[in-house]
Amino acid sequence: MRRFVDLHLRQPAAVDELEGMLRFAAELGYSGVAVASERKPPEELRRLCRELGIDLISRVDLRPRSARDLTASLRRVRRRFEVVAVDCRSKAVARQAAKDHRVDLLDFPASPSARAKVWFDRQEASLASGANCAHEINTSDFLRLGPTAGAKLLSIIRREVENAERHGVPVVLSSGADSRLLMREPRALAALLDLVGVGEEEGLAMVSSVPWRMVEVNRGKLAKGFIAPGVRVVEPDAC
Amino acid sequence: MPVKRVRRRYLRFRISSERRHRGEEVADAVQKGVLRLYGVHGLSQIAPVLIEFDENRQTGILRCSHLHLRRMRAALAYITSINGTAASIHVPRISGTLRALRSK
Repeated sequence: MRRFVDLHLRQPAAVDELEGMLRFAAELGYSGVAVASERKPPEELRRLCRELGIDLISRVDLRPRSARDLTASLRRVRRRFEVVAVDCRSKAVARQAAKDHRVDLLDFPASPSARAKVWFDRQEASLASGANCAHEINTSDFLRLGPTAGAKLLSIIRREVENAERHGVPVVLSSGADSRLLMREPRALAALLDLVGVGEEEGLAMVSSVPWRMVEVNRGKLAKGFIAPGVRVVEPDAC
Repeated sequence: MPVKRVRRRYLRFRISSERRHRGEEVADAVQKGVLRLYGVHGLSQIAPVLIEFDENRQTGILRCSHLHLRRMRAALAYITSINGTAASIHVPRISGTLRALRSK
């Protein structure tokens, strides 16, 4: 049975709405959710998620102004969060993020005019394939837009998905919701990718196995005894 | 000449919104949603029909062509407002027969 995960819930405007969103995520059939925050999730949220039977994943969204700013931020947050996403607002930041092994997810602007300038182009995809970072699609980006702007954004996302496929870069599908009304059940999220030419099975993997694999690898790296990929201390007392 | 029976899918759906909606508003939103995403040709293929709608519980059952179920789901997920009010439509269950859907 598939385990679905929404790797991107944004902090809602009202603080108490987050609890409702987590309850709704459990109702929609998610096994895991990540709430983007500058701080690690508080214990009360963790307790609520345990009660609901969902896995709360810690995630931070970085919004660096320059490549140097990005590397400094990564040094600060990488060991504290299970998922590190970078909001690529300029080409220089996008290129640096795609090259850096410490970045998990690449996010691009939601506005079609800004996305036309900074997007997941072929060079970006080539760099990302070498660094093992994934491209994230947030469905709320196009759900918020009107028909004309929505069509422009979908056209760019279609080309981004093609670039990712060509270079073997994993694509993660998230809601990017900051309210209950922008949340959708996992199969509906996957169905929305019909609009950018992604098949059903592939779409479902983007909201289940692909993000889970990323989270599991990162949890392994953050666990005690991790030395390097494939190398960890099994019995510390035996040395 | 043998005629192949048309296969259908029945979707149980639930509306999340700031206010309650009437059945006609929901049927209109679904039709417009499909039309907006897939045009007249898509609407004719998907053929969505509102079978029933409970205005108190804001839940209902929709029917569509089994070949275009994914497009139906995408059109429902794309709906962000009903009659000018912010709303979303969720599909908790799908079945091939109306009886199976009503029994659970």
